[in-house]
Amino acid sequence: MHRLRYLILFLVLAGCSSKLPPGDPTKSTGTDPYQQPCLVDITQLSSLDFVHDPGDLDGFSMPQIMGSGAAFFDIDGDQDLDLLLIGGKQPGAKERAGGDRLYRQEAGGKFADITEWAGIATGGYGMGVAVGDIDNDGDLDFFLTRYGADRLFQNRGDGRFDDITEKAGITNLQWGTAASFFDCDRDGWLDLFIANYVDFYPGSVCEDGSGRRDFCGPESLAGTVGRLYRNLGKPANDSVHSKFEDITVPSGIARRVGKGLGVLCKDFNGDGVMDIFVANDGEENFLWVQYENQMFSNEAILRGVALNRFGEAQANMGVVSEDFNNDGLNDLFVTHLAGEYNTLFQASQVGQFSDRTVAAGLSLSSLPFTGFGVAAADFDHDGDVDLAIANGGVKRGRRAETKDVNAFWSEYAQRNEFYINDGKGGFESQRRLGGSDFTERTEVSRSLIHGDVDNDGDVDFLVTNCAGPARLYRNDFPKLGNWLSISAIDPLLKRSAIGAEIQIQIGKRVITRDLNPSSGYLGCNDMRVHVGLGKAARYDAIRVYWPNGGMEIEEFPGGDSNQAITVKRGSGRILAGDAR
Amino acid sequence: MSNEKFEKEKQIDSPEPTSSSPVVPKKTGRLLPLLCLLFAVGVLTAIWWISQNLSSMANVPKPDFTTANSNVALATAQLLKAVEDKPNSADAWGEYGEILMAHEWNSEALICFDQAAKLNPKEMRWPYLAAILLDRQEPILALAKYDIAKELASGYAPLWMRRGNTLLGLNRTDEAESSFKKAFEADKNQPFPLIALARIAGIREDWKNATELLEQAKNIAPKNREVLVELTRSRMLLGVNPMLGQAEQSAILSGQRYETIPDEIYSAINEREVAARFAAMQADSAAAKGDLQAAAEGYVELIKQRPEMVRPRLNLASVFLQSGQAPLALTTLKEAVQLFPEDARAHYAYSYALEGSQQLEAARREREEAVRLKPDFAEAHFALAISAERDGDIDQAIQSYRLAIQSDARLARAHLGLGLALQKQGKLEQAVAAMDAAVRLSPGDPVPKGYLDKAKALLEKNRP
Repeated sequence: MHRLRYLILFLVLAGCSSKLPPGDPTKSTGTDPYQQPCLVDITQLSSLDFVHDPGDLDGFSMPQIMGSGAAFFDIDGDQDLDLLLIGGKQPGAKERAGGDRLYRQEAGGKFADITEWAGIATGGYGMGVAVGDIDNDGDLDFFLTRYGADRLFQNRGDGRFDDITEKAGITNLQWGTAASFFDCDRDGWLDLFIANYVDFYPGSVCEDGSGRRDFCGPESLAGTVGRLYRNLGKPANDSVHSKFEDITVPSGIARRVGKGLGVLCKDFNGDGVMDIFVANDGEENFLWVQYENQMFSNEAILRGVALNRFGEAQANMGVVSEDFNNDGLNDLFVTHLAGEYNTLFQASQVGQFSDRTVAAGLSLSSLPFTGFGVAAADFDHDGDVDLAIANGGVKRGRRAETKDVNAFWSEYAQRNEFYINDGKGGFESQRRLGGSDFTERTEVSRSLIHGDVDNDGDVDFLVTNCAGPARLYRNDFPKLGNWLSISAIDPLLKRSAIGAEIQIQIGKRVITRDLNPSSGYLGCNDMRVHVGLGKAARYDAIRVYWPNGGMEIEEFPGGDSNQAITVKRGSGRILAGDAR
Repeated sequence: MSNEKFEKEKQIDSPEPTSSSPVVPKKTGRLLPLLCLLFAVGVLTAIWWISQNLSSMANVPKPDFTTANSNVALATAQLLKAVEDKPNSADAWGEYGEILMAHEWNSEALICFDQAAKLNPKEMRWPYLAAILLDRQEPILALAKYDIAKELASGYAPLWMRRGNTLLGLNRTDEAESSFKKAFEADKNQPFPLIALARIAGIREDWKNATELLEQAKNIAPKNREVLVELTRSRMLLGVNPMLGQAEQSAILSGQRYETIPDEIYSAINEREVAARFAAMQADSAAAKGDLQAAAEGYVELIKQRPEMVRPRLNLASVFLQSGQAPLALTTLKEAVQLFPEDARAHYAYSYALEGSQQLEAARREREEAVRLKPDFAEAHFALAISAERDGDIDQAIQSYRLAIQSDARLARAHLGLGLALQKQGKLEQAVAAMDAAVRLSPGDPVPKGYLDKAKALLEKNRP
């Protein structure tokens, strides 16, 4: 009887400990720092009322199961993150307005829907978004991919936007998914790559193995080619609008048909020019390596990122690039279908990768899930990059016992995953995270974008769901170290140096990060580069490899941790390359 | 009499009967417990056997047939009945499991394979198929099944390959290596075990060994894409000349899926599939082989099975056209458009049938409808451009060619058509650019190259 009492007492205490308010949990929870809720759903608290509307589901139209993306970016220059959420609406119903919503962050961290005021009116079925300052005027513009014609919106400077798609000369009619702005030709103007998915016909009837109606998969549909647009800047006769030129054919991109869902642009082979990684659904990935004059060659298979370690093409969805094992080389992580594991392509040397998923502990735990969105960031500031993954099925499966979704979606619903990095590139799945909503809910999640929403120095994130609410999660992880938030600006271009590689020197250790907001699945992240520093109270130097011009490396002096800093091109010490 | 005899027999049986002798009672004391024990064992065995069979009967998995395709439901129900009729037949259970697996009722199939394996523990197929079902979700359980199967059929190379891959997925590299070696011992004519062994060498960053293994694999399968690609990569990482010949370059560029080791047992599962997609695959295959009669029959059957699908009707019309039965094609497509007014493919296909019967205006209208329904329908835009050119409307043709290119940048003939249309309008520079794109997209084709050369010459001639 006494034993029973102690047991009850113990259980009560254990239950209480999981509800401790945020504070210094390393003191309150003993050895396991993740007993308190580490990711807190603040959607309602933030007045976010967005619910993804996939439209009428009777036809099992394929775009409906692919979900849609979101972007964190500062639309009005007030130094806090605003939010663009891409809607769905009925595929094929081009005359109807899309479901995209733009939210401005206001005092107290509340978000206000300013869609109408901002002039965001779109048709088609919304998919993804890329953000960048296309006209180098100091404000952020954005590009929307759709099932239907894609759209380009130019910022007037105050958070209101004009649709300049036709004026800019962008005409992608295919099913666009991921997109990324990057300076392909190093002329200072941000160019645009769009991944196109499959050639889907509305009204197509697909079925599962037993002959039940289901959403089509990519295997039954033809692939498409991606699109590469070069930004020509503002023509002489139009000082307002940037003009783009379609260089898909001359660049060689049109040589390969794929089924693109994820895009990541960076200099993969260290030659100073930008390359393009495309995650293809059910097919080999592409790694378009740029040689001269925007000529690209697909070298994925020779560089070890086309297939997994078994030589299998997987259903590649979202993609991130970070240095997961702290060896100074950025690796690639790609999310996949249930029955396939998410794949870690670890860099063994610059431009060469090997599938090291199993050794990293990332394989078995991911087998039951279909991963889409992914964020790689140091959530607990211990000096290594952790992983948050948004999951949700694409084919009818066993009905999930959940109240988080309705009966229709319960056959697709899955829970999300979170992995903590052990500092050496080994990962452990954190199932509960102190009862966190993120890993407990069972929904059909898709995009996952990250950024420091509340400007408190850590990385928060947002998850989109098929036919469900977008959920904003506040980072309440117990912090095991210090942090730095870095903005890298080119003053002449008046914008963030998208594509820059940033190295933070702490003693002998060098932490490498990219300034690249377009990663994951259909989304766009905070432009600021967040770095967990571990126990280091100071950093010794910051080196920036600027993405345009020559191979220019500039060093900036060290300073204290736990601050947001801005490094401006031309204000540091030039180590190599062309001094501005 | 009988008593006398009995007494005699007793005497014979007991040569030294004495009153003190406990022979008879002693003998009874030994036999009775033995008999009782045997009886009890028999009863228990019978109870166990009955309970096993009763529980098996109770556990026959029955998936939800109500939403399944009727053919699938029918075929599956027949094999379910076979199990119910012969609950002790391992084959009945196994075959039922196979049809369930073919239609992705995987957890139900797993129960069947387990039961089949219980009933016939000497058959390797059942633990093997169970292992295949498990290894994408529960690799540790799969491994246990593979281990049972390997004891029953140690010479089956695909089993060792799959087992090796499962071990590799569990980071048990040394054991995986042994398994791949066993696969190679079992079938030395296959390159796949050597490729897998090379992959393990790669994990150990032993590129010299990897290269040697892949060279050995190349001797077995000199045209295998995976061998050629991996050998090139391995040589690169070893730091030697990758020796890129024509075969290697083609392999790198092809994008074809890698082959896997032939697996008869697993392939047999596909033959169980009766869903519409399999019937469609069979009809498509007949059409590809030129067996138009079989293809037509297949599509007609498919239309009966799945009247809500447009594709079988379009394919049937295509077969009619190929076999010179244009009126039948026209009728089929007209019906398809009436039944599926929202399907762009139906309108597009119908437009060609109409064009074939010289109904040009109707054909153009169908194409317009096709692009209205699917604005990124590159082929339909291209066809509209052809219609416009025939009508002498070059502006419209140029617009449609451009839309075709915007829908599919790699459509070389749209680039060429645009170039020719622009040339007609005297826009030579633009024409050259468009033709140049066509040449880039089909570098071996002399037609666009010929037009491009002529356009360039004309441009040069007209230059002030």
